[in-house]
Amino acid sequence: MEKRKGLLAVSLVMVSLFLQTQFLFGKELSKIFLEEVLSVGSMDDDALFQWVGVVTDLNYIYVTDAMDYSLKKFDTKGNLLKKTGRKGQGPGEFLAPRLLDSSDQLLYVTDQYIPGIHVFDRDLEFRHKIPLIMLVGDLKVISDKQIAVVTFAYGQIGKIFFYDDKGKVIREFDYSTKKSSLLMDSISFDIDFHGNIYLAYNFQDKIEKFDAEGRKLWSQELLRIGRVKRKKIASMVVPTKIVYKDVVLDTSGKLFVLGGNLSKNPSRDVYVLSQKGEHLTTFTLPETSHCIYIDGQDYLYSRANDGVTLKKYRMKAVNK
Amino acid sequence: MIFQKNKVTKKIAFILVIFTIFISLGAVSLEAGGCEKAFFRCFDDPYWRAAPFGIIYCATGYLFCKKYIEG
Repeated sequence: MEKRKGLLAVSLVMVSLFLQTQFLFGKELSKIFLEEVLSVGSMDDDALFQWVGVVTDLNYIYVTDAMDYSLKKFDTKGNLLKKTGRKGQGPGEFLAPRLLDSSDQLLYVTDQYIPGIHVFDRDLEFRHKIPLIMLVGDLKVISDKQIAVVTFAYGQIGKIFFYDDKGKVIREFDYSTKKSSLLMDSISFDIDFHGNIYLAYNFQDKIEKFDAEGRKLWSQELLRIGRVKRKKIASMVVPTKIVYKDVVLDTSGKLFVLGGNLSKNPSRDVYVLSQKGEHLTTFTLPETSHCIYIDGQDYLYSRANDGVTLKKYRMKAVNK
Repeated sequence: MIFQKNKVTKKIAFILVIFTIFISLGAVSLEAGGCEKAFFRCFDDPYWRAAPFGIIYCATGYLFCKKYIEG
């Protein structure tokens, strides 16, 4: 009798653990619906002209505006509070402001044509510039003392560099050891709290996860398209279709990947993957976007009106 | 009326900005293959050919064009 009770208790614990695992890793996730909760900028106002990068905290939304050569700060209702920057190459000036990320205190901004990273405080005051020799392809701020960067440079292709706040390389990580052309190995990436690195190739059907020590944990091809078409332009062979545009993690560790030209709904399909690389579901953005961003409350941000509008959505998950 | 004016101004401004990006990359239109044409002209431009790492600038422009402008 006692033995039976023990077995029953063990079984109940196991079932409970199994159900929790299913919930945590979202294996049973079947659909995600988007509900718009905020729209910033429209054709009727001058809030945004061509936004590129976005990052948020509990009280504010920060955006780089390429056409306005600026970094902008909005409240959570979408009111423009402040902007900084102008056209130029001096401190706090931009030629083409692009990527944006943040630490607890500071904002980090890249420029398409100026190597290095501009650092601002949350009141948009320019603090300093992290001097890098090469242009930045993607970045992830781990802390104010450690910034992960993919650069565009021959000899540095297939690597993520970890810089300190002075621009000194702390460590580097090879995600590709093959000798590819300049663009073929370009990626978007994200890093979780454990240091695991998730990356999506821009011109290859490849999404991968590496652990903090640089061991590849899995590699996934979602579209099964084989090799992307290439074209010889001048003396260089370049890929002509973008496969994945952006990759970002939500707070539970699910991976969201924005598809490019080759998706069923180009630049609108978002693929959701589990921590183990299983494809959980796909949902479609209302409009094409160049990037996606997920904040600390799991709201999703994307583009509308070709960059004049920033949309914020609540993600409603439906489980099987 | 003011809103209508803003809308028109913004539309014109947006078209100008896209056009400026392409001009800076050396493109002439937003037709299919626009990013390739822009890349070709950038690559062919004596300024960028002479510039150190000029090809890198052309390649980053091409990637941005593919991500941002081509749907």
